[in-house]
Amino acid sequence: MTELFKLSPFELNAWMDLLIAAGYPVFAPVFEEGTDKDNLYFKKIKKWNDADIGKLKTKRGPKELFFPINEDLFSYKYNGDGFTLEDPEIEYEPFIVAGLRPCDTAGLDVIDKLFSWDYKDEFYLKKREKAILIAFTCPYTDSSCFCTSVLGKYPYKDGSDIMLTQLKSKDYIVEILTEKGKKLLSHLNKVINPASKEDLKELKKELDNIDKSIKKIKIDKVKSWLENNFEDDYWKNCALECLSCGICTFVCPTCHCFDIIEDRNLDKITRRRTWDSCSFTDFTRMKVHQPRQEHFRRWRQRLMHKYYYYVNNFEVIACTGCGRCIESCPVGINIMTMLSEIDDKGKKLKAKA
Amino acid sequence: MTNIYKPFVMEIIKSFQETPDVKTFRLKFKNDEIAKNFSFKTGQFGEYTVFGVGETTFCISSSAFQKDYIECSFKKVGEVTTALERLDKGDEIGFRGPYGNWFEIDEWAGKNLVFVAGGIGLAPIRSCFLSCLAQREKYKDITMIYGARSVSDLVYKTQLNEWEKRDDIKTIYTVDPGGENSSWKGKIGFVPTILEKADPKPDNTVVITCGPPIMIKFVLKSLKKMNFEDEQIITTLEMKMKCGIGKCGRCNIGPYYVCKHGPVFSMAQIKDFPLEY
Repeated sequence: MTELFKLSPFELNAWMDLLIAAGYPVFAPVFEEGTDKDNLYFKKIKKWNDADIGKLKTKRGPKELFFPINEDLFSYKYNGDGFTLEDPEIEYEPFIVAGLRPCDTAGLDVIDKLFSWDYKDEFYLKKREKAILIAFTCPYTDSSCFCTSVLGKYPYKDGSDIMLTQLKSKDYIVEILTEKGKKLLSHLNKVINPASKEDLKELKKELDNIDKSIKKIKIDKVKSWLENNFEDDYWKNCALECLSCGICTFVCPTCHCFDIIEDRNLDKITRRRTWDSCSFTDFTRMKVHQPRQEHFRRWRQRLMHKYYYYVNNFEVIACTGCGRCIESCPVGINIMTMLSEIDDKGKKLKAKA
Repeated sequence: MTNIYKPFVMEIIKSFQETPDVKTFRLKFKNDEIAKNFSFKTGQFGEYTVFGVGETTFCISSSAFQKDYIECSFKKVGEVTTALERLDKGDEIGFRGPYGNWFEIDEWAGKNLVFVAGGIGLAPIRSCFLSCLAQREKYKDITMIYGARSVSDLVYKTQLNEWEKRDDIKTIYTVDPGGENSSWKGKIGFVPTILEKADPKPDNTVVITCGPPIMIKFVLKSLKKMNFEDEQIITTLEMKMKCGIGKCGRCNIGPYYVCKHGPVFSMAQIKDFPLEY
């Protein structure tokens, strides 16, 4: 379903505030207090004015709203006779995430597949089920953006319930993409103008402009090269400067590896999962054996997992082209450059054959 | 909610000190309903919780036809297994499982089975071996070749003796040179050497092997020499695991998750894996 409406900024503001007033927890990009002002995080807001949707990307994406950095799995205590285990008390209620970018919703679509194969991870899936996603198309793009190379034509719409695009006139075109999204519209107690033909023309122009401004790289030969070149010399030199700090996986909207730990307190112990990273030396370290000791092996794992293994298992690349890893890397490793290099190798291989 | 990370409580009903650093626990679910509904296939593994310490992964080492309890054997190597080793009869642990794939023992009907195990590698092999013995009539010859560094490192000693007495299976036990003692009546020599001397024929035969990587490496060479095909050789892989259910991303080798697509693989499959295990 797609229904298109037009809202003025004022109406948008009123609509969001009405949703908050109706009891929906609304999460949107806000400046984290006490940190440098360029860093936006998804936080619960009290009024729409607190949200900052003018800046392009949040530091970490919306992943943590569904798959928190630390999440209690259960707790237990000894009652004198034996151990009793308790599920964490979580009430799953509908909530809204507003101000996502199309690549943000794409990231969630990617990890949905992992959390729902075989064993259903309800910690994640229940939150996903309750969430209503209001995406805003990008106000501008930057040099680390390459979403269209991975996700196809701008904008990626599949993950959103509602998508808003601001026109030159400052008015928003609202695309209602799902039933969930449609329900939210009923909270705006007034007649809303459907988008006119002129508006749609404007919308198309706007989206085309964004599309054009995004850097395009070729990645269609990447998978086939990765499949056949695990032992290539390329790997040994590809990321010599990598510090194994793990920030690329931390800010990545699709990285989902986690550790499971015990948090010991006197009254009870909590088993918790925390984000982990394949860049860390201990990630695969067993007592007597560590298969990925050298860090090029860990870098190779990261690329292989994203552009080959994940595709084999879930038919989707575990990357959205958001470019956060490029922006965050302290030593300037650029995955876009690496993908281009690998794609070139893939092409040459084809040519030789 | 269904919490896939929450274990069930089990009680240690019996504990066996196999070697100075290997222990076996016999475990029973505290909740009768869960005990009644629980079943597993041989080769599958579980996640074992030592309350207050953490979780660790290893296979279920008892027969899949044993309905009253499960057994697990582990070596004291890390934080959790060290804490686990301190527990004893009457203590409680947590268990999640069974996870992973299994030995396709029904598909082996009508074939000869050769089990080749080293050290604590006998744990998964024992589950498979016992499960096959439970339906002995399905198979032709069954051979067990088992070795350890020394006599004191042999696990399941009582059972080894019982198996030796049976006339419907062939058992060959060995210890590494220098690992024997004055009362040792078995062979002396490394497992691959003993395997070559036993000289099993590849026709209509499945080899199930598990042990330290160095042993596996040479067992494979020996099997090649004896003209076994990769498809005939079945083993289990070990990788660092946390969740056991294909989420946490640790046990990923190539496009496979050892916890989900494994731990049981044929050599034909493993041959295609990137060398990262």
